[in-house]
Amino acid sequence: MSAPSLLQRITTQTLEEVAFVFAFPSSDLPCWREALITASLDYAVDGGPTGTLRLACPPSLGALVAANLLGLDEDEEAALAAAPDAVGELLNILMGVYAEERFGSAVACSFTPPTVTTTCARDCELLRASAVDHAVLVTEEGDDIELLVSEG
Amino acid sequence: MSYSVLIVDDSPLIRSMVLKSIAMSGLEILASFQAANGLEALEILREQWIDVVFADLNMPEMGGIELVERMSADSLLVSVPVVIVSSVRDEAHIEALKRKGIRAYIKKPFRPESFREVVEVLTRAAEVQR
Repeated sequence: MSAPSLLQRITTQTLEEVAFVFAFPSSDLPCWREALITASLDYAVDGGPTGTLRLACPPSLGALVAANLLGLDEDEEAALAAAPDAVGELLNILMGVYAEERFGSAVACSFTPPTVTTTCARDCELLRASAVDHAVLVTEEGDDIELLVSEG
Repeated sequence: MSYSVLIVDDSPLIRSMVLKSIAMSGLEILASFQAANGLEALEILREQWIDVVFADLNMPEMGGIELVERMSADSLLVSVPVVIVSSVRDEAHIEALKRKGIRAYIKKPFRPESFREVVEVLTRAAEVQR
């Protein structure tokens, strides 16, 4: 199996550190069957590229992340309600780590607050076609996570 | 020593996380207040005694930078330390924020102990100034 990409590595580390969720790199494309939570944010590197980082996952993973962040059970109403917020915050943290790892801590990188929406599999397929970087992970619970970087 | 803290973030989830982390860090909390942006934070700061503010950078209405600037220009609030808690990690941004008057910076993802370490440093600095 090939070494994990930067996106896979930082997502694995961040999920574990922030939300106690264990995920593993996958070489398979996700087979989305339901509406997804998709978070996206735009970034601009001083003297470098501008782009968009996106994260897509099923609502069940968003609820698990929210539950672990808040110390709740993932089936609780509050965890389900906080799922979009949790996915947005996860992307926000990932962006900071991604910028530091890819561009270095000496380079200024600004990014917008995350926007969280509900999307379908077709939206992800379209975005995947234009992405300059792309990563898929699978959690212990069997949920897929897809990350997409588009630039220019 | 116990502290009154103000947590400023537009995300209720993050406010809960920060409060939980502060509690887990072992810091004794006398009172905690929460605001969704800088404007709400200023209202609370004018009504309550706050020992330390933990604020995000990007927020609607008024972000963390403008909050620090407004506090620096207010003789009653200038001495209240502001700690930025953010996922922005580059040194250029952090140094610029320090020049604007923030006292410390906690990078996300954070460890609960970061909050205790920062508050202890701020407390020691305040004692030296006295």
